[in-house]
Amino acid sequence: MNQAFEKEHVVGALGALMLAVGCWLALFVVPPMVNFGDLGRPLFIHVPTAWASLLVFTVAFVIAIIALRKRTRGWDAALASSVEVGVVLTALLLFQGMFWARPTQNFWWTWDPRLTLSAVMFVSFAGVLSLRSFAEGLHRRIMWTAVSTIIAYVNVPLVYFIVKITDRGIHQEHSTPQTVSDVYHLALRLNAFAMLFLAYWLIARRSRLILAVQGGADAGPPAPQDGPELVAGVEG
Amino acid sequence: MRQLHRQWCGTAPLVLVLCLGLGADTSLAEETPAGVETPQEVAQQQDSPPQVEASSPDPTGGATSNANAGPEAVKPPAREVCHDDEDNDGDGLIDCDDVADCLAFATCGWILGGWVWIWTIFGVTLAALILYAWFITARLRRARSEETPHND
Repeated sequence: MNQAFEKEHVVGALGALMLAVGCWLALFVVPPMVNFGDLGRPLFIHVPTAWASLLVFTVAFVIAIIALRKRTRGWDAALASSVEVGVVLTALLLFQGMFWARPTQNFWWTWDPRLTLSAVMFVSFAGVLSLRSFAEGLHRRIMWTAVSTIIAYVNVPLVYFIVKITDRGIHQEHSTPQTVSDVYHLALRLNAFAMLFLAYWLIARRSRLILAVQGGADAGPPAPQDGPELVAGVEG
Repeated sequence: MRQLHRQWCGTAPLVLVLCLGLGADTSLAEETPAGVETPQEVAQQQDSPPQVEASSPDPTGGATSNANAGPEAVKPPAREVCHDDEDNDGDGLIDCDDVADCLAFATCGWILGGWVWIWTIFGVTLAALILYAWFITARLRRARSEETPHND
């Protein structure tokens, strides 16, 4: 394994810097919101987390399709990593939403369509990781992880578009730069790109960890149908 | 009991999903129009009498439809309304003085206008990301050190 400087650190460092500046802007610089006062500030981290989690799951979906075709350890590690990072981001998203709703709307939870679908998204992708842990052998592990990821992904576009389908619930329809005051743009964009960069860094590092842990000895002997490429394609 | 159930259902997303079939109280959500609201609007909504579901007394005076339904079953759960200058739940504490019910209410000034919540959200988010990154980095370092033979 190459221990030289790895390029993802540049992206990760940039993401960390942008997140620090974005949070500083959100907490201390941008004016309080008209409706929520200072309690509108958590939206500057909540919304970027939501964007990042949906995008990471979309990346996982694409990787799942590629992994089904390529069936190498590298794609397997990338798939598992992206699903795991997506689950972490979704858990944070749900936490932020609950802790924001309590002081502003006076409840921890409501069965709002988007909220419910987000919880389903969290549980279904956590289930992908759980299912993956039961699979033995590279071939079977890739197959189970990729197929279950593709199935779980069906819900992701629903999470995004549900506010257009129904106006029930507490989530408003999609915001655009035209519907958000100019003073809020910079903090929102900084945090959005920061979350994306950090997600990329986390996926890359987690992939390397999976490959390093698996090493040359995969769990169990390779199945007979596993071709040489399964053993050779280690570099992620 | 109903309130206890609701609180438990709000503690964690995973628990919430497990509570799916147990019928958490969604009456507030049904009353809430689309879009976001101000705390004042929420407070106004609280002023409306709580809705009572099921277990209403049998009009014939006989047994009720719910086996457990007694006088307490038809009584709505008492809860302090944090902005009406009244002691709604009869505990002698009015509005923001009723810490148990109004602790989280943003406009109760003594919680610093909600900054406790703001710091919690930002703090936990950043701490979780840092911890996750540290976890990955530490394990990766260990895996690589086990992989690389030492030249001692």
